[in-house]
Amino acid sequence: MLMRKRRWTAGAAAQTGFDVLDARLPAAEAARTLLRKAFPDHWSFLLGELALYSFVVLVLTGSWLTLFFSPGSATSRYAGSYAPLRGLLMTQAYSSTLRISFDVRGGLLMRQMHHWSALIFVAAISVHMLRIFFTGAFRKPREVNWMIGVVLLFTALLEGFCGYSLPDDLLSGTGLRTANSIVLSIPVIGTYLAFFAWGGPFPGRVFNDRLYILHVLFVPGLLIALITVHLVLVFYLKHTQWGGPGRVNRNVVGRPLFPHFTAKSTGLLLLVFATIAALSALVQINPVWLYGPYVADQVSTDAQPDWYVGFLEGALRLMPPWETRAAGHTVMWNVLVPALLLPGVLMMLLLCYPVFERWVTGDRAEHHLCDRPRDRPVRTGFGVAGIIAYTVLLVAGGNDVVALTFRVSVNTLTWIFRIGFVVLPVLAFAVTKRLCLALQAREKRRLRVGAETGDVVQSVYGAIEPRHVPVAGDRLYHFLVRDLPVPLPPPEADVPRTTRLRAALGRWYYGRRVELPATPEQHQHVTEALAEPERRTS
Amino acid sequence: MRTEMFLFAGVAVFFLVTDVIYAWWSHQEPAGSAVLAVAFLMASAISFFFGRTYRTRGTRPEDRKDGEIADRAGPLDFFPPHSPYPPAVAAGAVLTVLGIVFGLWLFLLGLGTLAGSVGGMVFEYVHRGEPGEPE
Repeated sequence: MLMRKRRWTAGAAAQTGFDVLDARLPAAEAARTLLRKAFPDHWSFLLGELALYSFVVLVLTGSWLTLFFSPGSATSRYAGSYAPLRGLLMTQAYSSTLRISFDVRGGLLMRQMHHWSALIFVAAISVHMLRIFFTGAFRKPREVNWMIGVVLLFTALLEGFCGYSLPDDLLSGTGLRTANSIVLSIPVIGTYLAFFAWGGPFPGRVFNDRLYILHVLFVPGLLIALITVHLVLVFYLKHTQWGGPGRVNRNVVGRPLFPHFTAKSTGLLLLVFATIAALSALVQINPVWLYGPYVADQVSTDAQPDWYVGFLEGALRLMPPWETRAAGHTVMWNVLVPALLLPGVLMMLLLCYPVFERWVTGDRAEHHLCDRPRDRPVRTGFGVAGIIAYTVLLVAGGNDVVALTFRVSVNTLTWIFRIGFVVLPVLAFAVTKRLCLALQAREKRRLRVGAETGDVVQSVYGAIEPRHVPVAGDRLYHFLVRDLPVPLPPPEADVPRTTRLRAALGRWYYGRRVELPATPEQHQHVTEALAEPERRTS
Repeated sequence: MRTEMFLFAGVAVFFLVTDVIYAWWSHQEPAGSAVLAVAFLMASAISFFFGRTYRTRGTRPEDRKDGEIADRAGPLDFFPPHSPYPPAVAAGAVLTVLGIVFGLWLFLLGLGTLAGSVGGMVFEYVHRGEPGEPE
């Protein structure tokens, strides 16, 4: 009796509360559109969430760290509880980092969580981005969201580097020295820019304070703003999805935001928290007390940046020592090219790729179904070549460690990596394109003769053969529902050069394919599944 | 299967004898003795397998003088049609052995790869033929 009454009261209270809210805020409208939003439940759609949740950890731990960290290059003699460094001159930034590590309760755990989640954040963004790239989820109407994502990645790199440089230990100071020479390498204005940023010659007195405000206000503000726009756009444009029975280009099939997706995603959030906490509790990261305070004339051996800056470090180490002197100026190609032009070019390539592919494809349609990478051999080839080039640079960033571990000469390694950086991506592209076509051919074979069961039979004539079964229905769907653009027809003789280039690129992109055998009925199904959604009118 | 059993038993005996002589003559040279011992073990394993198969399955048409090709017609056995695990096992073995040379970190990575791929290879078709399993 009592229970029933209480439940009724709770229900009524919820009802009244909702009415009060709905009379003043767009609660019902929001609930209708938000709570019923469908989320596809393929695992690869959770990669972006991993990035989001590690960012949540970053913001939480970072906010906590601001309560104890004090930037600044005012020096004092250390008198804290870590005995080996007592009596050493150090900046306020470094001594407060030591205080967080040794004297603040839970401080070391928070510092390590902050560092670990930064590494995981950038890794999650990268993997998420690869997923989007390889499945073609950047195509219309999601080009802008892809570009926001690219800017997010580079903003995250910048934020990571600022944070890494804040504690003013010997390692981060070495990183800042590199950053300083990168700024110096900008032609003509480099010197002025470096003096402006550092407030004089390196190391200066103001840069640490400036880094701090960049790291805790400007860059994270930009990150939060971009993430918000990114998520709003994901809601507005809806998710892509893998094709399947009932999953076509015109709909989104998945679990509703509430309660299914909320429950699942909360679970993921807690898992991310738990993993980062466990890692940070068990695995030491960035032990600044071992490196000592930064002194401008010292460099520690084995100096390695965080992994996401490693490719720039590698590029710097591989670049030949080229310089040009002209009109009293020196252009330092050896720093300018690997540290500024390379990331700039990388960012421009990533930003422009959707537009470029659209131009080559000559396609104005909306795409909401994910491509299987094998159905787009050239795009997949580009992706793999990019990964390989990045990996070469990343490994080259640790060439001293590789040389020490495998007892090879650093100079030999440098040449291996230089040649590898040029040759391996080309090779990877060719192999990947070939493999994609081979995988298509394999599907054709499976459609023609069926899938091998592994049961081997012998005929009365003695022939030994494997048994085959027809491909199951949902596999059949994956094989046949593919969105392969047709290359544009060969141009006339007297068309502009860009048109001819475009036609040639189109043939290169989409000329090679393996046609799959399909009945007219299956053809009709495929056309229906790939049909474009109607334009939103309201 | 009896013939094959004797064949490989002969190979095993050959390697055993060679191994003993080699070890004695070379004053226990470790590498060669170990290789010959492993060769002996491998040949014995195959011989043992054939012997066991003979005991469970008996003679086959090809073991009889009057056997016909048609006598063997019908399902032979299950052979995995394709598997990513053999190359993965190979990669794991390579990493593990390189780990012995270069350091514990590589050894542990190799061990992980090896354990995962061996597990995968053993359990890949474990649910074959159960209801609800495709293929």
